[in-house]
Amino acid sequence: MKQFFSIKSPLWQILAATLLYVVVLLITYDKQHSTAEGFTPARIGMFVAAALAILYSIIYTMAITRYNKRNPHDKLSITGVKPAEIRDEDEGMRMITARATERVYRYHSFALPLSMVFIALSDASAYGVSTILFILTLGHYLTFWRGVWPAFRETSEE
Amino acid sequence: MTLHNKVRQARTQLGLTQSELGVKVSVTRQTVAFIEKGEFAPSVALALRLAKALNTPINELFWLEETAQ
Repeated sequence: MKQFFSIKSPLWQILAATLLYVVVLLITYDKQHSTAEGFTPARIGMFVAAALAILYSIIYTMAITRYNKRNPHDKLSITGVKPAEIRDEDEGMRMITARATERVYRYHSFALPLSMVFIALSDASAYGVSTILFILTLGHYLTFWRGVWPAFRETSEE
Repeated sequence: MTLHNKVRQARTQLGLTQSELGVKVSVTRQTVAFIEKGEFAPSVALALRLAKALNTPINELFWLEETAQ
């Protein structure tokens, strides 16, 4: 269970994507429906979501700092482009990551064209497109998670 | 041909945990577990480091067997 919330877990990215999705939906709603000035429910929701995003960023930064203190030989960068969930501590972890990224590649090779066809045929609204992109993102991280699961499963000495 | 190994047997004979062996050969405990389970074939360099750490000739630690067709 502890490994589930590890900084190397894709759970963090899933949470970030969910927050972003909520903010995007609220912005879309506000743009389409709100003509009023001031604090409409959608705008209040947007501020709440933005506050949650800031809280998430603070907690994520603290978690990375804590990880770096405990693992000085395998430091993670807060601002770097390499995602924290990429396991490359050694050749065994690189093998796990390679298998997981291959799964993600296969997932995108059918999910992206299918989504394009679906958007074209359904004449999806801004909400629809945002939702499809959110589902694609969730699929991306869940596929990756399934691939790296053996590294999380191996939690106890044998 | 399938790669087999007796890393677990050699490790337990020396009274080492997976973590301790991992430290000796500079890999994570998970990687030692993957090798022992046959889920991961180590590089030649890592196999040589394991053989040295476990005081076992490499050809006794790792070997290939014909797989049934």
